[in-house]
Amino acid sequence: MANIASNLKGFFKRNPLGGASLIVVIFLLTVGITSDLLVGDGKNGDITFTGWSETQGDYTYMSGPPNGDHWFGTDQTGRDIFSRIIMGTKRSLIVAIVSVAAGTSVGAALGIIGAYLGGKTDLIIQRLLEILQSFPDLILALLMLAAFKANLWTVVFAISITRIPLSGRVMRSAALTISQMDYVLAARATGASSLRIMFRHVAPQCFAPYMVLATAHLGVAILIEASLGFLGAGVPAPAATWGNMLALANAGSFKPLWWFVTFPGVSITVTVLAFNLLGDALRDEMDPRLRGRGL
Amino acid sequence: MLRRLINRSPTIGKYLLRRLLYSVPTIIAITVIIFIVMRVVPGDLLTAFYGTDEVSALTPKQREAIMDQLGLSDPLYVQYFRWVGGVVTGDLGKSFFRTMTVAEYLAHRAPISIEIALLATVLSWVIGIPVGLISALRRNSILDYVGRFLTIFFLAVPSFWLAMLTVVFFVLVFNYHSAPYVIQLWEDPLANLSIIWRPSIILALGAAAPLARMMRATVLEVMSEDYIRTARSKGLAQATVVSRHAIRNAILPTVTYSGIIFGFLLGGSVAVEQAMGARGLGEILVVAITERDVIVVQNLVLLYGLIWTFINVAVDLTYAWLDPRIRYE
Amino acid sequence: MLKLPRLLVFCMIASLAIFAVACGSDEEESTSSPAPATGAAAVAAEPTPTPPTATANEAKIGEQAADLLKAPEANAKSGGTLDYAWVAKPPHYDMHQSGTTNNCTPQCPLFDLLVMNDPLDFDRAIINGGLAESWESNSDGTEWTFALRQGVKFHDGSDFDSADALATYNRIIFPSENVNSRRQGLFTAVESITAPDANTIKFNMSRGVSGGYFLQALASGFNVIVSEDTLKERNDDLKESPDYPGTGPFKYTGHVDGEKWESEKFVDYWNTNLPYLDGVNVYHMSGSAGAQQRVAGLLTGQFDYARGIDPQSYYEWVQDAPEGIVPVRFPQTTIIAMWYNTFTDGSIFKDAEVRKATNMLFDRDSFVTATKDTRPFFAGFGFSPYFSQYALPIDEGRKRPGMAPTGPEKDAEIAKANEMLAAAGIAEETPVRVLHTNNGWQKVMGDITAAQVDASPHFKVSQEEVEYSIWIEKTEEGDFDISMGPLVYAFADPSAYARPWYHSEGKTNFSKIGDDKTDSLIDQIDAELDPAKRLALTQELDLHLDTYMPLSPLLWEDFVDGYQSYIKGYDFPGMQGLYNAERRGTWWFDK
Repeated sequence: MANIASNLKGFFKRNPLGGASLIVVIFLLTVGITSDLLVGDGKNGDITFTGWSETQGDYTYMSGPPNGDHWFGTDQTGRDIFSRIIMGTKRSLIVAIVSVAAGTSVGAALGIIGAYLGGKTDLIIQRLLEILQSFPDLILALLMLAAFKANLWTVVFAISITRIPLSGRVMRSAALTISQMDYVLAARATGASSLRIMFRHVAPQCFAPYMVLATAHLGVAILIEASLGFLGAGVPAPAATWGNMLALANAGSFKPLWWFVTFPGVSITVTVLAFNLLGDALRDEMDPRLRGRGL
Repeated sequence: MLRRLINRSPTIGKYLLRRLLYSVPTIIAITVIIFIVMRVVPGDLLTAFYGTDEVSALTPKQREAIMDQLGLSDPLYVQYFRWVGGVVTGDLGKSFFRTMTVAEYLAHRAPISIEIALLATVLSWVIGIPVGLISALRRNSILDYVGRFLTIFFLAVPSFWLAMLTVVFFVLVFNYHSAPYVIQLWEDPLANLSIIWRPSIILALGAAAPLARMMRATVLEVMSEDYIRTARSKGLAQATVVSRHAIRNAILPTVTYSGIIFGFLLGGSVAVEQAMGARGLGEILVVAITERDVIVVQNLVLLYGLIWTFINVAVDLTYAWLDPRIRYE
Repeated sequence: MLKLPRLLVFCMIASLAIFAVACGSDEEESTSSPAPATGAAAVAAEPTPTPPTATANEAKIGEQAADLLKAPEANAKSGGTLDYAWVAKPPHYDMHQSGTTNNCTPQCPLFDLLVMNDPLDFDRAIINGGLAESWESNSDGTEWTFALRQGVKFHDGSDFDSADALATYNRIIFPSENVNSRRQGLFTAVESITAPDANTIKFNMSRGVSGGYFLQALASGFNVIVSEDTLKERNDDLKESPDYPGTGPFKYTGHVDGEKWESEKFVDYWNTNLPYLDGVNVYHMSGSAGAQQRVAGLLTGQFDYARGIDPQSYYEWVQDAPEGIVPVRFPQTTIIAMWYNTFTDGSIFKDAEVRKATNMLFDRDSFVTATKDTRPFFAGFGFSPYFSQYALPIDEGRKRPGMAPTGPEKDAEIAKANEMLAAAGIAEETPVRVLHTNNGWQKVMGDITAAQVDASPHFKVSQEEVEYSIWIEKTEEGDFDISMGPLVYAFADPSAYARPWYHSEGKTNFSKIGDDKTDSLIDQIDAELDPAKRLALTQELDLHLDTYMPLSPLLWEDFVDGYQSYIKGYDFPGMQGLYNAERRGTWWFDK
C-alpha cells in the first residue's frame, strides 16, 4: 500500500500533467460508474442528483440556458443537458473501455501467438491483421454498423474491430524480442507446452506495451464513437451520446445555442485529452523505448 | 540520391514485387468481407429508392422485378463474382436510378476528398514540423510546452465539432460560405479551393500532433548523436547544425509518416465533410448508408480499402528503402 | 361564400400569436430564471403575413379564370436564375410513381398538368393554367370533358394532343403491372378515358363525382402530362429517365446525382407570359447538417430561396430579419391526432362520452408552445385542415369542445371533462396506455398528451414510445388505449382526407369507429357537384364528428422557409407544401 502511494507520489512529481489527467480520468470513471444513480430514469419520480432523466423533458423550460435547476441548460425538447452529458459519459466510457480492451486483447493475443509460433501461423495472422488494417478506422466502423442495427454493443463491436490491427502489430514486435530471451528459450528446452510458455512467460512481459497501447487507444475510440454519433450511425436516439447531442444541435438550428454545443464538445475534448495525456505519461513511466514507435 | 536508389533498386524491386503479391490475397479478402457484410445488411434494400413508407406500396411482383433488374435476386456467389469481375474491368455497376454509374459517381466526388486529404497532409507539415522543431530546439521552454500542448489539444478536439462551429462563425462574421456542391479544381480553382481549405485546416490541426511529436523526438535524437556534437564543438552555429543534419535526417521518417496521415485523413474526413457541407466521398458514404444503397457502399468501401492498402505498401516500401534491414526480414 | 376571407387567415395567425403571448407570460411567472433565448416571446412577435400582392383571383373551385397566368405585379421583369436550396435528391425520376416532394421540387416546373390550382390564390381555386383550356361535366357528374389547349409543344419539339393526355391518364389510373401509380386511388370512380378528337379528353365515371374533388385530384402536382411517344420509347418506365420531355415553363438541362438539378427557360412555352426566370437550379442538402447548409447558403447569398429552415432562425428573422431576407411560414399536409381504441374488448373508449371527455382534457395551446423549437404547429380547432376553405372559421372552432384557450376557460373545461368521466362510470386511476412516436417533437407531444390525460384523477397513464413504423403497426393492430401520431393527407379536399380518416371503412380510421351519418355525409360530399352545398356538407360533417369524437385532432403542421426579398410574383404564405400549384412560372427577380 505504502509502495503504491510512494509510486503515485513519484508519478505526480515526475509527470504533473499525467497526474492531472489521472485525476480527470478517475473523476470521469466515477461519473460513468455512478451515472445511473446520478441521473434518474424519470419513471417513479426518484430523487436523484440531477433531478432529471436523460429523456424526460422539462416543458416549462425548453431551450433554456443553464440555471439552478438545469446546470447545463435544456435542449429544444426540454431535456436536461447535464443529465444527458452524464449518460453520454457512461456510454462513451463503456464504448471506449470495452472496445479497446477487447480489440487490444484480441490483437495482443494474435500478435503473441504469431510471434511465438512463427512460420505459417505468423504469416496467416499477419495477413489477417493486414486485411483489417486495409480500412480507415471510421470507414470500417461505419461498414460494420451498416450491417448491424446500431446499439451500444454493436458500436462496441464495430470499434473494437478497428483496434485489433495496430495492437497486433505492436504486440507481435514486442513478443518477438521476448521470445528470444534466455528464460523463454530455457522454458522451451524443458519441454513446456507452447500455450503455457506464451501465457506464463511471454504475455506477462508484454504487459507494459499493452497498457500503453490500450490507454493511447481510448482517446481514439472515444473520437470514433463521437463521430459515429454525429453521423447518425452510433447509439440511436433517444439515448444520449455526446456525438448525437452535437448532431441534434446541428440539425435543430443554424446558430446553435451555446449550451447545446459547448457541453458535449468540451466533454469529448477533455476526455480524449485526459486519456491521451495519461497514455503519454504511462508510456514514459513504463517503457520509454516505445516513444519512437509512433505511439 | 538518385544513384543511391538505382544502386539499391534490384533488392527494392524484389521487395516491391513481394509486397504487391502479398496484397493480392489481402484485396481478395477485403472484397469477400465487404460483400458478406453488405449482404447481411438488415432492412429492405428497396428503401433506397422508394423510401420507407413507399416500399409498402410495391406489389410483390414489382419488388421482384426491381430486385431482378438490380441483380440482387441472383445466388450470392453469382452476385459476388459479377461484382468482382466488374471491379476488375472498371465497371462498378449502376445503382438505384442514378444517372451516373457508380464509377462515375465516385470519380466525380473523389477529387474533393483527395484534395482535402492532400492539402491537410501538407498543412500538417506546415504546422507540425515547425512546432516539433521549435519544441526540440527550445526544449523545456515555454514555447516547447505551448507547442506540445496545442498539438495534443487539437488531437483531442472532435474535428466535426470545430467544423460545425466554423460554418456558423464564417457566415455570421465574414458572410462566407462555400458551395454546397462539387466544383472541380479544373473548372474553377478558386471556388474549388473555397470548398476544401477549411476542412483541410481543421483536419490538419489534429494530424499535426503526431508529426510534431515525431519531429521533436527525431531532432532530439539526432542532436544527441556524436557527429552533431562534434559539429557543434567545431563552433558551427546551432541553426546551421540543425539545418544541415538534424532536419535532413528527421524529414524522411516524417514524410513516410505522412503517407499514413494521408490515408487516415481520407477516411477520417467523413464527419468533417458532413459538417462542412463539402460534397466528397464521405458525404456519399453517409447518404448511401442511410439509404441502404448497398451497391454504392460496397464499392466505396472497397475504394477506401484499396487506397489504404496501397498507402500501406508505399509506406512499407519507403521504410524498406530507408532501412535495408527490413527487406531481408 | 366559398372562399375564406383573407382576414380570417390573418385572424388565425394573430390569434396564434395572442395565445403564445399568454403561454409565454405564464412561463415567465412560474420561473424566476431569464426567459429562453428562443421561445414563446419570439413566436408572439410574428407579424401577420404580408398582404397578397396578387390582384385577388376571384375564381372559385371549378370555375375558370379568363386570363392566362402571369405574375401579379405590373412591373414584372424577366431574367435571372433561381438558386433554390432543397433537402434530398429524387429517389427516382418517375413523377407518376412518386409521392415525395423530393421529386416535385426539381421536376414539377418541367411539366404541365391537365388542370392546375391557382398558385397565386391561398384558397387554391382551379384555373386553366394547365393543358385543359376549359372543361365541363354532365348534370350528374358521371362524365367530365376537357377541351385541350392547341399549339402546345413538348420540350423535344413535338406537339401535344389528346393522345398524350390519354396516355398519361391511362398510365395514372389504369397502370400496367410494372407501374406503381401513387395517385391511382384518387380516381376510383373513373371507369374509362377516351379521346373523342385530337383536342378533347373525356373521363367516364362509374358514379357521379364533384368537381371540387375531381379537379383537385387532377391538379395534384404529380399528375404531369408526358407524351405518348415518351412512354412508348421508354417502355413505360421513367424511373431512370431524368430528361423525359414535358411542356412546362422550364426545360431540363441536366443534373448531378445528389447535388443539383438544372433547368432553363422553355422559350416555346405556350403561355407567353411565363416564365420570367432564365432558369431554375435546385440544390440538394440532406442529413443532419442539411438545414445548416441551406441557411448558410441563403444568408451568404448563394441561394435565392431556402426550403425547410430551422424554427429558431425563423423566429429570430420574424423579429429582426437579416437584410434582404424574408421568413415565411405556411401550412403542410400533416395532421397530428389522437386515436382511441374502440374495438378491443373491455376498452373504456368504446363509450363516446369517455372519448368526448378525454378530448376535452387536451390543452391545444400548450402543444403549440411546447413544440415551437422543433417544429411550428397550428392548433387548427377542427377536423378539416385549418387553412382549407372547408374549415370552420377559427372563432367558431375555438368554441368547440376541447379547444378552449389555456387559462380559466381550459380549467373549467377540464373540470367538466372529469365530471363527464365520473358520470360515465370511469373509476379513479383507471389504467390507460398511451402509445406515441418517439422522436423530437413527437416525443414532446406524446409526453404532454400523456401528462394531460394522467392529470385527470380518473386515469393512470402508462406511456409507450416507439418508432414511426412500429407506431403505425401497433396502431393498426389496436395495441393501444389511446395513440398519438402524425398522418399525411394527399391534399386539403374532404374527399381526400374524410374518407380514409372518418368513414367507418376508412383505411386510416385507426379508432375503427364511424356512424351511418358520417358515412352518408362522406358519400354525399364525394358526389356533390355544387360547391356551396359541398362546403355545407363538409362543415356539417366537421361538426357532426364532435358528437362521437372518432379521433382528437391536436395540431396541423406548418413549414418555415426563407428567401431573398427580391423574389416576387408569388403568394409565399399560401404555398401549402408545393404539391399542387407551385411551378415557379410566375416568380421573378426585382433587382
